[in-house]
Amino acid sequence: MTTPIAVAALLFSLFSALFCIWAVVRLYGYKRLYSFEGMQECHLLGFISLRRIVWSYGGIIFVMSLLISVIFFL
Amino acid sequence: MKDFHLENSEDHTDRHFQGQQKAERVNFSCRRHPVVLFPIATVWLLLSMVLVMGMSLTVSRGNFTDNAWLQGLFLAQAMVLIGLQHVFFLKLINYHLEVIVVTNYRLIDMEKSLFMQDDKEIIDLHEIQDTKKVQAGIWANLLNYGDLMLTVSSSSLGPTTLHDLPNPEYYLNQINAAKRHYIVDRRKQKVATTVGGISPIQHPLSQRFEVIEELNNPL
Repeated sequence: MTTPIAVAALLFSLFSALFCIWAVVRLYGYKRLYSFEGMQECHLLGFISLRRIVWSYGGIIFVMSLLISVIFFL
Repeated sequence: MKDFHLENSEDHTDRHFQGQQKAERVNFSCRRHPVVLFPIATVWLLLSMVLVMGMSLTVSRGNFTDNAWLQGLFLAQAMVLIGLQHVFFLKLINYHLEVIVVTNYRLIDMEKSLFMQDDKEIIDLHEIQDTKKVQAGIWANLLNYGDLMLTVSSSSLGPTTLHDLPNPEYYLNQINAAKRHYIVDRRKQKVATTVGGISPIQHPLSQRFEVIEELNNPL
């Protein structure tokens, strides 16, 4: 169904995914600032690394955007 | 917490962080205690559960495909949920960007976020006059976190506070040790600029000519 709400949902999903990509690109630009392993492979509570956080962030946003698009367009 | 054991002779320019000087060694670096993420993590978890349940109930209604009001409600819930994910994960990333680095020369407090903030405060170790640990409250003592207050001689704005450090006693001792080593190093450097550990100016007049001779002909 191609209703205005479905189009709005699709646009919001797209915007959300682009924002996520922008954030991750900015984060990796900071590699120059913190170049040692302690800064990049830093761990929260001993096991949650920044790499895992970034992958979770991208994964959750991608899955949710896809889910919304599927619900409105199928 | 990270400890660094590097050779003195190495060139450390921009090695561990941007702006690092040639002979500057990183003693340690640390972040704030993870307890600072507890409020946002709680809100994120509870609100996400409520929104997912609400979205499931909205979609499971029989007339979802025909009802524009239900579709609008679903979209609004989805937008709030996705916005919440952005806020939560950006907070997690920003937590990792806020770092305190103590080198053999200075203390650097970097407060940085991906989009909104880029602050850096540098305090020379010899400018630190007093250090004070504040660990008040049940949670702060149970989870072992607290504030360090540094009185800086050049600042007229009062003490600089490093908030919510994990194991503040350890970092208090580390900062004091780094300061002591820095002062000793400065004294050694001053002595090294003289010949034989004594400045020519401080010599008795009878020995001063010999010292000047040594300065002119070191070999």
